Amino acid sequence: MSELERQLARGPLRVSSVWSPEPPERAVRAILRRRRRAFALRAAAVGSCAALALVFGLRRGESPVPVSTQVVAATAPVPQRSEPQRAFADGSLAELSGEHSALVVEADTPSRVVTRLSGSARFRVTENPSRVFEVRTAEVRIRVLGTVFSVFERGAARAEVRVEQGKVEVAWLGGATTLTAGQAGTFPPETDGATALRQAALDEREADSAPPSASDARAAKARVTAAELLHQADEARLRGAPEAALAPLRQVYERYPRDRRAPVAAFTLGRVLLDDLGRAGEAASAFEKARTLWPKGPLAVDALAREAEARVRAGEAERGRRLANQYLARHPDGKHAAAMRKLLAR
Amino acid sequence: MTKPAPILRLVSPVREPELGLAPARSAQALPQAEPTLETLYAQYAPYVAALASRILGRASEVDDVVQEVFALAVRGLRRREDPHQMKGWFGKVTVRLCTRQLRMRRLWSLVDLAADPSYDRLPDAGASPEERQLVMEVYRALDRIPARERVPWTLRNVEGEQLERVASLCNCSLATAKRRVAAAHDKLNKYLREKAP
Repeated sequence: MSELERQLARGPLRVSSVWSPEPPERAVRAILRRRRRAFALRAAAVGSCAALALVFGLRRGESPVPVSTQVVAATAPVPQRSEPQRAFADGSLAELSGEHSALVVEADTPSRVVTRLSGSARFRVTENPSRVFEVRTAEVRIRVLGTVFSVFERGAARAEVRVEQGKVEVAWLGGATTLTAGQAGTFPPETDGATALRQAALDEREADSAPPSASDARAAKARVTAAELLHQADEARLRGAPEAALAPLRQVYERYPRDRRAPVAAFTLGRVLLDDLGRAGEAASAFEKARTLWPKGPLAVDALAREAEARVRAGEAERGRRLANQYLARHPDGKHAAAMRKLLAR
Repeated sequence: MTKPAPILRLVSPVREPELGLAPARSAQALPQAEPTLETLYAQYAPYVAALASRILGRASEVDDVVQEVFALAVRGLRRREDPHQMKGWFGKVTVRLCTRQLRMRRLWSLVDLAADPSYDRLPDAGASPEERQLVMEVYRALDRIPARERVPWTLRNVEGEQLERVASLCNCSLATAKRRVAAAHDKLNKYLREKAP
């Protein structure tokens, strides 16, 4: 009988609530504000989609929608425009720009602020290491710890992030990176799997009279195929079948080693092998692959730490310790420094 | 003929035993006032939060779920339902939102480079050191299990619900609930054995 079963034979596990209650009046005000903002954002999205559908319909030369429906679409209820500035409880500030920008605050507690942005805004976030501040757009999540940065939605699924001060972590399905002061980028990157899939779908719909060149066709096929493989792996993980994610992830970096997604695939493979399947030896090789494919890439540092951990768990203690020392020599104050010291102290 | 004096009842915050009484204790009793969102919050938020805490294990996510449950309650709950139905409604919606949150968490974990969370606030204050350690390890292992199996297991073995109620909360058949609890249990045992020194 396992320790867990022995404990459960005595009764359910004793787990307490981690919630900090607040006065009902205050809580209800926050709940009703959340509902109003969520409605405003949905109405803004419906209004934008209706306008876009109208324009797209006209461009494609489809049979015009009956006039009365067009009029209704064009005059869909205009939501309350979000205030141009939004202050948060800790003094952080968001300044919206553009007529159709909207910000919905989904959480605003001492430990967590989560906002959903449609359009563009500049954020000035108060530094607070014990609070997570997140901005989410359609496909991108930006997490900050006290900084000044701007987010501009570029199309339906991409966002440009510019950092003026501090540091942000930007994540999207298939990848992540960190931006520091003075850096900017548009995410997901153009070569990202999910974006490539969506672009491929759009390309199919749009009529293009010029036949593609042979090299264009090969490049397009490679992009779609690597993207499809990543998508297969993501789907397998989401439905709780991590074993089914292994083959597509391996194929990404075996077939397309120079593709920017290859290190992401190798790193993700390492995580699946180690965290989901407990196959530490194979995980270590995958993390090693991730850092050697792109030694100066954004995942190399984390891959080094995780490889150290995986080597130790696979019984390669000496090799794991060597890697941990390597990490500490290069990144004594890095995110994994404490974990590496703990590993060495064992 | 003089009118009988009205019988005034002090309408205190609604407590569960008081609800569900026959609408009129006496012919002259005032009709029971529909509970406001504030009274519902005062009464059921602790239950929702405790359930969400046990399923999710992370304080920041629990706050979100509590707010979302009551945002849905503004429209979704007919206030005159009896207390058992209300609690059942809150339970089902909480489980549904927590399951969704767990799925989103796994989605973001594909790219999240942050360190694993610590679950040191979760064990009950009265738990022994061994039990505390076990609870933390169980929650770390639960993070590796799909939501559809994790949630029924947690409802059964942490919340202490009977299987029939687990099935009702998870909106599945009893057989499915049993199967998922068993599947999660097997995986947990396996992951805990891996971690054992």
